[in-house]
Parts: sequence; structure tokens; C-alpha cells
Amino acid sequence: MSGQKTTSRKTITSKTVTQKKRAAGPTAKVPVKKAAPKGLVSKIAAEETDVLKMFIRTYALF
Amino acid sequence: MSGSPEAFLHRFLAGFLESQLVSGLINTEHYYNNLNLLGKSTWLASISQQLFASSPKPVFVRGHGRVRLVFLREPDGRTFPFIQGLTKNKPREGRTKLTCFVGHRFVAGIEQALRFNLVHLFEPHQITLRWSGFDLSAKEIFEGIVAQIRNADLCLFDNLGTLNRPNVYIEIGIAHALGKPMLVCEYVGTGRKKIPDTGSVPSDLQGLLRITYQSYEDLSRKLYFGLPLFLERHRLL
Repeated sequence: MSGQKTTSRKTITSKTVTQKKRAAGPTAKVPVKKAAPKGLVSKIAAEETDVLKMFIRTYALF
Repeated sequence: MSGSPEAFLHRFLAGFLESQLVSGLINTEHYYNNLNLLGKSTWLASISQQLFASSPKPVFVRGHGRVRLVFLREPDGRTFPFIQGLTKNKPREGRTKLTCFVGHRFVAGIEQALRFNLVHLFEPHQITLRWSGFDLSAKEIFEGIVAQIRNADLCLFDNLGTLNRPNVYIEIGIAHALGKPMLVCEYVGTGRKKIPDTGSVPSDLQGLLRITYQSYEDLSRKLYFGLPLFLERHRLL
């Protein structure tokens, strides 16, 4: 996943990781932040067509 | 209808829908379709009346779940109605309970209202709230606060009444340095109702969700509506 490119502001792009690897040396491990996966809150909002049900499901998380 | 229970519920749910739109969870088509359906809802009048009549007891909405109406507080003691979605009582499997460190000005009105409100707003997410100490000048208390922030999963700060009182800003700095997800609530009241004696939050802090508000009613809605996505984005759900 280290080469993953996203538009997230917080995500380190592959170019930045490459630069970090060069700076850290060939054997160093460079942590890479992945974009947060789409979760239940996003899924509920996308699925529901009834605002009251969307509201209730958002806070009950089902 | 403007001051009726029905109008209140409509405004509340429309506000929720708008927060879903501006946070990118739904698109404009989804938003307008839902808003249109909300305006035509036949259940709006009956549910809103039940909510006010039975408050704080929950109302079961068939096919949906439980909601209830509670009254939260402004710093001056006034109250305002608020709708809580009610979750199941037991935590979901495999999920550890999270802790949120809360920093705010220690004056009776703010302390009583903010703490009371936050307990209601964080309850669905099973997050325990931890309050900051009283006096940052004492070394051991300062170290205690640093430890509390370090051990917290996320932090919330309210800058109401903090002009020339830097404690909250120091705590924001500590949380920023420790890389904690932060909700920073910034009071921006205007006009005759403005509460004086409030500073402003530096605009260049990253990794925080900044919530500007004019009253605790405004803050409670923005916080409640924004919290699920904030937690999801920080992998805290």
C-alpha cells in the first residue's frame, strides 16, 4: 500500500515516501499513513433516503 | 408553525441533513430529495408532539428506532430542546471504551452547562469524558494534565471566556504536540447577546476540527452532527 496515491490532505503521497526513504537510508522502515477507509457513517448516509432513519442509524450505528 | 414542536423537529433534522451535505457524506441531489421528503412528512407533527409531551422519555419510531427530547443548557442557565438518537445499551463487541480530554474555562456557568451538554453529545459513542485540572500554575497539576492528554484518545476544547486566560490554549498546544485528534470549539457570538471576554484560536493548527459557534445550542448541534464523521475519519469508531 506504500505506493497508494490519494487526494487526502493528510495522506503521504508516494513521492513524499520515496523522498523519506532516500533520506532515511535503504534499510529504514518509513511509516505510511493510509487514507481512512469509508466506514459505517458514510455507508448509512449513502443508503438512507429517510432523514429520520439516517439520523437514528447514525447514532445507533447499525 | 415557526415556534411549534413540528417546526423545531423540522429545523433540527434539516440541520442534520445540511451537516451531512457539507461534510461530503451526501451529494446535493440526495440532500434536496431528502429535504423535500422531510417537508412533506406526515409523521413530523405527531412525532414532534410525542417528543415534547414525553420528554425525557424516549419515543419509539416504528421501523426506525428510539429518539428522545432533552433540554440542554446555555452558560446563563437558559435551556434549549435537543434530540438524542438512542443507541443500544451495551457496547459493540471488540470495541474499547474511548476517553476524551475536555479543556474549558472554569467558571460556574460554563462548567455546569458545557459538561452537562457534552455528556449527552458523547453518550452514543460510549466515550468517557475527562476534565482538565483547575490551576496550571502548580507543577504537579500541569504534569497531570499532560498525562491526561497523552492518555486520551481525543480532546475537546472550548475557548468561551478565555481572553487573558491562556490555560485552554496551552492545553491545545500540548494536544497538538502529542498529535491528538482535537475538536476546538471557538465562540464567535455577535450583537447584544455576545458573551465578552473570549479570545480566538490560532488558525494554523492542523489535525483539528474547528467548530465556530454563537451559543451552546449552536455548538451542541454542530458537535453532535459532526462527531460521527470526525470519529470515523480518525478511526475511533
